[in-house]
Amino acid sequence: MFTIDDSVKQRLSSEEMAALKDGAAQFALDVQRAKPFEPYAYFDQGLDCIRVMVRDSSVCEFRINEWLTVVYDTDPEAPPTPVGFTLKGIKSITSKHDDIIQLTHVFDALVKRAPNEEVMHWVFALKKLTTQNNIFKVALQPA
Amino acid sequence: MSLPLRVKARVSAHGTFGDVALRYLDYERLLNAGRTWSALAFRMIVGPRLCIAQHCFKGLNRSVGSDPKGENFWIYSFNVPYNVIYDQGTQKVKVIDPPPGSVFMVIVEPTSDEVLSTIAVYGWISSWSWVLEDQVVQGAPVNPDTRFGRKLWSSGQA
Repeated sequence: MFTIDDSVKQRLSSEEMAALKDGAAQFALDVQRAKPFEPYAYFDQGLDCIRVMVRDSSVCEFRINEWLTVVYDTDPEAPPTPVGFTLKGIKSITSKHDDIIQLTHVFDALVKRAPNEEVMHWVFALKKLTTQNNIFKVALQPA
Repeated sequence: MSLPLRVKARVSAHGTFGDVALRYLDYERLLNAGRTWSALAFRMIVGPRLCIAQHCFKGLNRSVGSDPKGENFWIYSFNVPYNVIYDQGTQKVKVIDPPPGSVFMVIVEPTSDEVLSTIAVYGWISSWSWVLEDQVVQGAPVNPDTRFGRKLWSSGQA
């Protein structure tokens, strides 16, 4: 059902191993319901942010500033480019009547909020990422 | 009604433990979107390890809706001695070394008194991921002093 690298096995107690076994067994049932991954953008109402992901992978988040977090694959052999990002503070740049927001509008707001070279660099890179994956707008209302 | 997925966590600075939970529909949304790593990490990292979190902070220090400081969130963080990945080809889970220089972070939105008294859930799990670890505060996300509102507790402090 699952394999454990030897280097990890040495660090785990028998209770921890048992917990992993339980988790893997639950996941084995869950994953049967999983649909194929496709790049997506969605609005997380609770955390008031837009999340964009272009690959289903183990990820590490890097906070650039309070408005932007960039997401990388933790696999050291993965390409050194982001696999996603989070744009925050969305409700303050939209009206409650808006159904959809264009990502370019959110990028523009980000540049206004933090007009510096680092943000400009990221906006350029992330626009490219979204264009390559045909992600241009995000629904703000639950489907 | 489908039940929330409960996880044990420390829920007060005094060392009380209780349940926080992921809404069933939120978990199903992950599966519907094909986000297998998020589901796997929930089952094999959040589930078994949140109860031994090293730090808990309050407030995201950013605008969340009408709250300019995102005060109503708990942020748990902890080192994990492994990472998990799912190989779509072989359909097998692999437990591997954790990403270097990283800690695991889980964001929880505390529930209302009504929810707590009705279903005994202290908070709704909103998000989880690896993040860069702080160079000074072991087990904490990078720059915790500026990133979060304040620290609620650290392990070993009752």
